[in-house]
Amino acid sequence: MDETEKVKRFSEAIARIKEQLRTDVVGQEEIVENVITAIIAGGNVLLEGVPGVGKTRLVRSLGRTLNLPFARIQFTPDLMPSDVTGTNVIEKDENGKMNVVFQRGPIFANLILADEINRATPKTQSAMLEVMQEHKITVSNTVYRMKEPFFVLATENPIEQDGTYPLPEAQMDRFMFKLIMKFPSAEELVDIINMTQITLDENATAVIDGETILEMRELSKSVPMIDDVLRYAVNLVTYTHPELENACETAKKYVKYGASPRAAQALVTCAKVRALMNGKFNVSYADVDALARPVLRHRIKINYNAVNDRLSVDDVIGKLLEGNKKLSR
Amino acid sequence: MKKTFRKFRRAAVRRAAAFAVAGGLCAGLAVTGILLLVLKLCAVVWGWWAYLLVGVGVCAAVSAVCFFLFRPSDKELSKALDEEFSLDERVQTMVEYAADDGAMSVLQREDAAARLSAAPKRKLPLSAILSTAIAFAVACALFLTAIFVPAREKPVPDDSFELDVWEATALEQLIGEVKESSLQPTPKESVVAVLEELKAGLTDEQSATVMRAAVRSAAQLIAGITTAGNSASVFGERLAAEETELSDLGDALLASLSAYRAEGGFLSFDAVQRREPELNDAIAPLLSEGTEAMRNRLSELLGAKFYQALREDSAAIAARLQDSGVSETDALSVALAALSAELNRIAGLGDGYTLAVLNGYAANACDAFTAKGAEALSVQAYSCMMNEFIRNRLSAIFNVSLSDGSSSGGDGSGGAGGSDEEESSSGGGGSGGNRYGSDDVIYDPETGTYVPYGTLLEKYNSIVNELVREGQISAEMEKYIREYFNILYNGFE
Repeated sequence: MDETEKVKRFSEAIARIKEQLRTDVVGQEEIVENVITAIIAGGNVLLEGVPGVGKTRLVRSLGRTLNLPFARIQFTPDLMPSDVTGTNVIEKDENGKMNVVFQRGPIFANLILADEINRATPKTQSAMLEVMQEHKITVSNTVYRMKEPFFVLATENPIEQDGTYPLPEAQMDRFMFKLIMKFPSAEELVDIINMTQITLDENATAVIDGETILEMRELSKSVPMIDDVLRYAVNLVTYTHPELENACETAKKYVKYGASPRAAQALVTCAKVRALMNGKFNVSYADVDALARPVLRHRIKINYNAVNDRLSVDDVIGKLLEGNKKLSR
Repeated sequence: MKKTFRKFRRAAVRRAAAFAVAGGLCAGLAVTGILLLVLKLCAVVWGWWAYLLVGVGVCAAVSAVCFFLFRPSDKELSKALDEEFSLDERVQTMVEYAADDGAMSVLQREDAAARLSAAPKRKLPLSAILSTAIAFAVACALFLTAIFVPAREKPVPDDSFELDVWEATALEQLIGEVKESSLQPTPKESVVAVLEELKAGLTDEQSATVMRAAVRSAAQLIAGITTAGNSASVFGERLAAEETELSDLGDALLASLSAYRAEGGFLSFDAVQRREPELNDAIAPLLSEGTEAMRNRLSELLGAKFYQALREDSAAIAARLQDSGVSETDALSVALAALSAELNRIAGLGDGYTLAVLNGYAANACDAFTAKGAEALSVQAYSCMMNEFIRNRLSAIFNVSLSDGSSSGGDGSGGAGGSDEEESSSGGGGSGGNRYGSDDVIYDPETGTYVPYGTLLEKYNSIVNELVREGQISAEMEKYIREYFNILYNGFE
């Protein structure tokens, strides 16, 4: 299949995915687009939203659409790592012999919904670290690889923070995006109600498979990106570090810790995917700008000055973007 | 590169060229205008071709620089196109990945080219047009202003001259004094002619520059005339070159002509006329050094009866006479020839004569030379003194600096004139400025007119001097009179 055909299939696949997801998820267009982007880019997503906005439904619907095995892990404080990864158990075979058999945990799926991940203990959270980054787990010195494409969508409840364990920086950095699912608008809520009055089940059907996702991933890597745009993306990440020489005034004033190099990688990779999803054959500044907040909001720490000035992380990122536009374009 | 982009590139190059030419034109006009204005205000005149050259040169240089500065590179052009047509960096990507043969790059190029083709024609930004128009207007205004501003005229230094009464009278008086002097007839006649020609020439002269040149020329001519007969320095140099006792004679002759100079520099006519002290000073070296040396030399030679040496001395003097180029009738030349002949005669007498007789002959030869030589030297010294006197007077009358020294032979010639500056100090050995200490006018009974005081002072001085010489003024009064004239000018003797 030549490239043109591949690109055409890419566009068609995206359109079909979106179409199917729209049947189950009302509104949240940006969230849907970013989740699709993350899956194709090979990253994980941290979804923050109040209960009932459709986080689980989104992931479940996504699993159906992509025809990928889906697993939901509800994180609780008493959840053990082995509950996630699986464990060795002793089984008696037909002959009555005792054998040690590895019982796979829910992690052995393609699409994982890690619900309320911040409720799990750090020990359990760390079990997710390895699998999110390396797509493999080690149990009793045996390495088990996850089947590609492997995607973790973790959720956080911003309301109930009591008894939760904030995700460590190392784990936060492994999420490609942090998306904030907002409460639906009145019109959207009406549509939700109308839809769920009919059925609560997901209606989405499979339109592509995992192989296609992997092909799309490979295809997006070949999208050309000019040096200026690459430099723009890199500068955006370096400007978040107040300790660096070329840090902008916003970072010096409002940022405590800047983003890691993974942020730059995420920006570039996802910008290429986004460009292709929008029918473009090259990455533009707009693609980088659009992905700045999802990529950076969980990677930078704002200081007391920002709190004092009533600036959220997104507000600070907005200022960083303005500064970057002036300096780098 | 896609055809569409090349089309835009050509248009961009044309635009850059147009702006470059416009910029060059503005710069050329402005620079030419400024140059023309500045030169006009400084009263400097250039030919039109010079301005044209400058204008064209500046225009060409600025156009070239502007073209290379403003001609956009492919990257700059692609960026401009992306921004202008909101193409989301498509064109920039197309340009940057032009050499990439990857399938995605090919697709990207096609997509970019398609969108670029659909883009409308680029318009010239209004700000660029406006700024160019304003620059051109300013340059034209500068140029036209420079053309119509009248040129400033260069101030002409005042070079006017008019021979006034005082100067004419003083010059006439000088001519009279030269006529009354004791210069030899031939040089006197020549000097008078030069001075009269000078007076005639300056009567209608209106340029101070020409006047100064004429006065200097006259002074040089007079120096040449008066010192032409100075054979003493000619012989002196030649004899001094001999490494024998004759060199003492030569040195004495050289020293003689410079000895006459009066200290203080300025010589009045009266002082020149009463020349005996100066002339005695002139002759003294010859009498004391030259003759003495000759006598000693001859005594030694005669004592040893070295007739050969005598003959050699005689021959040497004769040879110097021949080489000198001085006229045979020149008085010093005649004296030296007589000396040479006498020495030769003494050398030819042989052993039959006693030493006393020979000494007597030698003494006679020295005395004869001394008498004749002194007479010749006094004439020459007088000529030098007259030359200095005339030089100082001319310098004082016309306030022209006449440098020291003059033509050949004049070791002692030339006056005590000052430096070669335009404004020389007035005579009298003073520090310049007012010659006689007053610019007042006084009634001249002889002419019945009022003349500058200085004009009558010479005459007054001469008359008083005459009275003093005749004894009609007591010695006591003479003291006051001398002091009086000394104050007026530094010349009363």
